Amino acid sequence: MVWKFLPGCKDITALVSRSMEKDLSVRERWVMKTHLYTCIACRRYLTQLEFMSEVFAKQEKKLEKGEHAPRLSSEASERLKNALKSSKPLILFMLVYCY
Amino acid sequence: MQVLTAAIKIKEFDPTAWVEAHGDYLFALAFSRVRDEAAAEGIVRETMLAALHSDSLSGEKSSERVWLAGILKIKVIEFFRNIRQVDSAEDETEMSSYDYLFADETWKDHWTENTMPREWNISPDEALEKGEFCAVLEHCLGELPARVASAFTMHEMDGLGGAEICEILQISRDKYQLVLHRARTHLRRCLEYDWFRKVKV
Repeated sequence: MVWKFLPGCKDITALVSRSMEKDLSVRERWVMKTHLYTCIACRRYLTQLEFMSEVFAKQEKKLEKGEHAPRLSSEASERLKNALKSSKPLILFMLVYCY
Repeated sequence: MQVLTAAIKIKEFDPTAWVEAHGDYLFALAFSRVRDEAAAEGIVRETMLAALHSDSLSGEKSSERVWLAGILKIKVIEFFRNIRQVDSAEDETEMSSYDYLFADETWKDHWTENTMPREWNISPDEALEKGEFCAVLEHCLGELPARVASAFTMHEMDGLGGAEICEILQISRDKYQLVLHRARTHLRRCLEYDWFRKVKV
């Protein structure tokens, strides 16, 4: 009968979210795990949160690897170049060759 | 050991070369954070201008990109810090519009048979291959209030910690937790209804 007094899925999803940052008290973690044991819907919810987290992490990696979308339009490219050109007349770049 | 001889060449440095070499990458990086082309372009411009006026000019190409990306991420944080708070503190953590998901008639506060999460049956890599998925993801993030989206972005994309994000957005830890909860609730629902339930995976 004790399960009647435990939180429903609505509050459990809030706990699941906090569990991603390990931000739960011992009691809260117990309440969440007990609920997840019997609730497939909330188990899927956790899986889905983990999926989303992985998606953003993988998206970052793709960016680093050079898979860019969207790209700068040629107009935007020109605007940027003009902004840089008008900013400073001359920058001396020192190249030191060692051989 | 070889004898090292050095020749010094003074050359006129052309910063527009940065646009050619790194423009697309930096723009994509900024766009992933702010999801607005004009804002992203502005951030890239400020990044390159700041780099131009910086004391330390990076020499090598590969570390040049890393260096510029570092400056860009700082500019993005500044951008987030300056987002004007249009919604009230309560509105930003508003969850009542999701109550219908848990309005089961027999079990209080439980998912209904129709709203309960489905099996998504796809890996993140496979999903990211699909342009429509990426477009829906972007759209879903865009539906959130700007500050809520920024908190989620800083956490998931930049890996910033709670304390840092709370300081940048000037919110309490409790509110931060609610903001992440709202962002996740919304994103999950949006992805499931606007993509997973529509597309045969």
